[in-house]
Amino acid sequence: MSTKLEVSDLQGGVRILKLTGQLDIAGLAAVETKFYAHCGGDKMKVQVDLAAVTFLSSLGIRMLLQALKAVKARGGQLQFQNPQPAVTSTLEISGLGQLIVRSDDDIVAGKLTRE
Amino acid sequence: MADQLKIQVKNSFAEIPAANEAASRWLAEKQSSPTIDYLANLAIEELVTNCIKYGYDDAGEHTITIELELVENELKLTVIDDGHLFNPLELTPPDINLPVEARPIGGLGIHLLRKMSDRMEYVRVEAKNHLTLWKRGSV
Repeated sequence: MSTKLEVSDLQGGVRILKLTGQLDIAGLAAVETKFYAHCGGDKMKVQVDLAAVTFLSSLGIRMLLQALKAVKARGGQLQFQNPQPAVTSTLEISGLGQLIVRSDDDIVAGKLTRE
Repeated sequence: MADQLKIQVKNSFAEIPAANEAASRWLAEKQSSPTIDYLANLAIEELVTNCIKYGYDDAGEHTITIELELVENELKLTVIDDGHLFNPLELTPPDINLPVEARPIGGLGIHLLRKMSDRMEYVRVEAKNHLTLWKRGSV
C-alpha cells in the first residue's frame, strides 16, 4: 500500500491530516515534505488521523515529533487520532501516548487542549 | 525443526523496502503472527538504517546480512554488518519523559526494539557486528 496524506479543514480551525499506509523510510519519502507544509500556521489545531497507518518506525516518529514541536512553537496543538494497536504501542513507547485521542468526539467537543 | 531465511542487502536505503517485503512474505508463508511480522519489519528498518548511517568509515559498498529463524513461533532475527565495532545496546536510552520542546529528535530506533522484543544481544565476531533480537508470537 502506498503512503498517502489527505488534508481537510473542519469548523473551529481544526485541520485533519489523514495518513494512510506505512510510515517507514519509503513511505516518508512520499509524504514528509507535504506533511510539514500543512503544520506551518499559527495557533493550529492539528489532528493527525492514524487509523489507516499500518506501520510506524522511528523515522515516522521523528516526523510526527518534528511537526508537534513546530505546531507547539507557534501556539498550536497537535494530537494523534485512532491509531491501530501496534502503532499505539510504538507511540506509547516513544513517550507520545498522552497525545492519542480515540474518536471524533474530542474534536467536536472542542477537547483539543490536552498537553 | 527451525525455518530460516537469509537476506543480503547492500548499504543503501533503497534496499530496505525489498528486504522487508522478503521477510514479510516468508513470515506469511510460515503463518507467523502479526506481532512478529511488525517487529521483523521494524528491526530490519531500524538496524539496517543504523548500519548505513553510522556503521562505516568509508563510502564503499558493503553487504549487510539479515537472518531470520522461526522455532515454535519464536522469531530470532540477526543483523550482521562489517562496520566498525558498535554495540547499540550500550547506548543510553532516550528520556521520553522530557517535555516535547526539549525532546531530542532521533535516537528512538534501538529503544523501540528493546521495548518491543523479548530480548536483544550483541556480539562482535570476526570483525563483524551481530545484533540479535528474539520475539515470541502470540498464540
